[in-house]
Amino acid sequence: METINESHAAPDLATSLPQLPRPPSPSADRGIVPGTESSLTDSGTLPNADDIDLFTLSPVAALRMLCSTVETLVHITGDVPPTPPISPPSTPNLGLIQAEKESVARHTKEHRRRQSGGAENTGDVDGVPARAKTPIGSPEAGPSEPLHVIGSNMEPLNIQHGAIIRKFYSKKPPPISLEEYLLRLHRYCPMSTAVYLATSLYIFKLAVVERIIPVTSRNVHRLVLAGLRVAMKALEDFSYPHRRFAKVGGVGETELGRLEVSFCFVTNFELRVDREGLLEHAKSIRHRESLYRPQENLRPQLPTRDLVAEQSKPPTVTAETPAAA
Amino acid sequence: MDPSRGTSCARNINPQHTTSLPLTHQSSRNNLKRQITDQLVAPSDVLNYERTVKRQKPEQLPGSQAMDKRHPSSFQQLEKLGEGTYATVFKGRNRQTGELVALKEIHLDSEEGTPSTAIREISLMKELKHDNIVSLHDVIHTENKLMLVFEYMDKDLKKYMDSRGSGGQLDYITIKSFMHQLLQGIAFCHENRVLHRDLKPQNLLINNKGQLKLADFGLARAFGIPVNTFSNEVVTLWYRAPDVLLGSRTYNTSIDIWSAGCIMAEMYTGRPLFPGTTNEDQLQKIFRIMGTPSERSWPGISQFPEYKSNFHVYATQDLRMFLPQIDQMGLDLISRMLQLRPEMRIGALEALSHLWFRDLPQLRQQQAQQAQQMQLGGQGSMLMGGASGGGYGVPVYQ
Repeated sequence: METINESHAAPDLATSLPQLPRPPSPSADRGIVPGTESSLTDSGTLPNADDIDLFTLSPVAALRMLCSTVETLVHITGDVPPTPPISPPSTPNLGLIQAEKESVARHTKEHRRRQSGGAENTGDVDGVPARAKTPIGSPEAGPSEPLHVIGSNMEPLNIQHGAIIRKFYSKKPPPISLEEYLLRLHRYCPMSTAVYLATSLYIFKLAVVERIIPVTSRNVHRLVLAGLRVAMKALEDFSYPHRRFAKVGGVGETELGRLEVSFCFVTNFELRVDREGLLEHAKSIRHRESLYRPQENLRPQLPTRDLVAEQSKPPTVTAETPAAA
Repeated sequence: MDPSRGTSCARNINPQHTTSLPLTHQSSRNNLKRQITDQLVAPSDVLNYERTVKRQKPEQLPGSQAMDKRHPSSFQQLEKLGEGTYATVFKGRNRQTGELVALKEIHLDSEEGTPSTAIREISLMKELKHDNIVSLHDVIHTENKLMLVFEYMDKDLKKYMDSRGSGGQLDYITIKSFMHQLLQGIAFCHENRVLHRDLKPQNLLINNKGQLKLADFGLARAFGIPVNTFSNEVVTLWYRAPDVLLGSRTYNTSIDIWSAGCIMAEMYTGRPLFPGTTNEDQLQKIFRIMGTPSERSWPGISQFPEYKSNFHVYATQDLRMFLPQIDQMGLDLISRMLQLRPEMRIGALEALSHLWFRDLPQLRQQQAQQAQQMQLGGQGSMLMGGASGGGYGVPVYQ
C-alpha cells in the first residue's frame, strides 16, 4: 500500500511526510492554571434575580447561591438516615461475597499504600498547609466498602443506588458549616461561576427533580465536594490535582475518586449545562430567597479578614460569540 | 493483533463478575455454564436466567434507565482496534442482538480519578444524538474501569483514504458527500454549543453505507458559559487554526471550521495540507500558502501572545495550485473555510447551503444507480473489508 502511495506522489513529499502529531492535551496548557489570589478579592455581591448576568456574576456570588440552594434542601429534608447497608441475601451468593472480599482486600491495600507512601498527612500539598485540616468526619460507608456501581454486578438497581448514595453520608453531621467548607475550598481551589452554578443545578436535580438523594446535614459536604469535582472536570480545561482537592476537601484520595465516579453515575452523566439552564437556575435561587427570607439574613457571612488585597477580578474567559455568521 | 484470527480471540469481559466464583458445589455447574456461554455468541443470559430475572425488578429509580441496563458480559469482546494512554478500544458484539459495537475501555486506576476526557465524552455524546455523530449506547462501570459502548463503524477517514489505492485521494462525489456530512455533524455540535476541538481524519469514522460520523469527544467542551479556563493546547497540530497557533484562548466555533477546511484539502490530495512539526513550523506552513497576515489584513493580530513582528513574509498563493482537481465552486467553499482571521471563516450552517452542495442529491442518486448496476455485475459498490480502528480516541498500531 505504501509503495503505491509513494509512486503517485511528488518525490520530495513522499520521503518527507512526517507522522501525525500526537493529540493535544488541553490540561497541559500552563497558561490556564487559575491563581488563588483572585479568590480573595471577590466580594460576592448578589444581584437581584432579574439583574443576573452570568458573565458578570462573580464566582463567590455563585458559591453563595450554591450554598443557599443546598442549605435550603437540607432545611427541607431534616435528618434522613441513609438506606441501610446491603445485607447479604438469605441464600448467600458466595460469588458476590468472594468478589467483595477481594475488593476489600484490594482497597485496603491501596489505602495503606497511599497512607504510608504519601505526604498526605505530613507535609504541605501544593501550597495547602498541612495544618489546615478540613474536618468533615469519616464516611458512614467505610473505605473498604467496594464500589459496585451500576452494571458491574448482579444487584438490582435500586439497591445499587442505595449503595452509591450511602457513600456520601458521614457518620454524624460534620462540625464545619457548609458555607465555611465552601469558602475554604474556594480559598485553596478557586472555581468558576459556571462550576458553582452547575453543581447547584446537579444537586437540585438529584434531590428535587429526580428525587434520588435526600440532601441532609450528613451527606451535604460530600455531595458538594463530588459535585464540584465532577463539574470542574466536565466544564473546565483545568482541574486541580486529585491530591490537592482531596486534601482541601478533607477526604482521602481514594475516597474522592469513589465519590467522583459515584456522582457521575448517580447523575447518569447528565452534566452538560448551557447558558440558559444556568441562568434560569440562578434566577430561581434568587427568587426563592427573596420570597422566603428577608434580604439581610440571607447574606452568608464572609470572613472579611481573608478577603483583602488586590483589586483585580478573576479572568473569566468565554467563547460566547461564534464567528460563524 | 491479527484481525484474521477474528472470533478465536474472543473472550468474556470480566468473567469474574459475571458468574459465581468456584467455591462450592455450585461451582462446577457454574463453570460448565460459563464454558457453554463462552462458546456461544448467543445470549448468555438465557443460561444465567436467575440473574436476568433479578435484574428486571420493577422499582427502577428515575434517571437510571439509559446507561446501566447492560452487564459487561452482554458484550463479547473481539479483537483490539487501538490503544492509547488512557483507553483501549476493542471490537465487540452484543450477545443479545448480535450487533457489532466498539468497546472503549478507560482505566480508572490513575492518580487523578476519572479522566476528565471520559467525563466529557460521556456527558456530551449522551446528548448529541445525530446521524453524523457516533452514538454512545452504554456506559458500564466495573471495579477499575469504565467501558463505553459505541456503535460500530468500519474505519476512520484516514484508513478509508489509504484503502482507496489512489494515493489517498478520493473521488469528487465522495468528497462532496463526506464534506456535507462532516459539516452537518459540526453544525449540530455548534447549535448545541459544543466545540469538538480535535477534528482530523482519524476522528471521522466511516461505515460501509458511506456514512461519516464525528467521534472522540474527549477534547470537546461546552462554550458560552462563564468558565475560567479555556486551553490553548487544543486540536492536533496539522488541523489547528492560526488564531489558536497564535496563542488565542478566546477561540470559538470557527476553529472546527478551519479543521474541516484542512480535511477537505486532504481528501483531494491524500496528504495533509499543512503538515507542520512544531507550533512555529505549523504557522509558517500556513503562511507560505495563505500568505503572512499583517495588521492591515488582520487588525489586532499583533496583540496575540505568539505574534512575532519578524514572521517571514509570504505572498498569498492560489489554493488551486495545491488542489489541481478542485472545481471553481469547491475552491470558493474551501477558501471561505481556510480564512486566517477567525471572524472571516464561514459558519457550518452557511457552508451547508453553499452552492457547491447543490448538486449533491443528484450525484448521490447517480452513484446509487451505478452501484446497483455494479452489484448486478457481481461487485459490491462500497467494499471496505479489512481491519478498522482508530477514531474512538486512540491511535491504532498495526
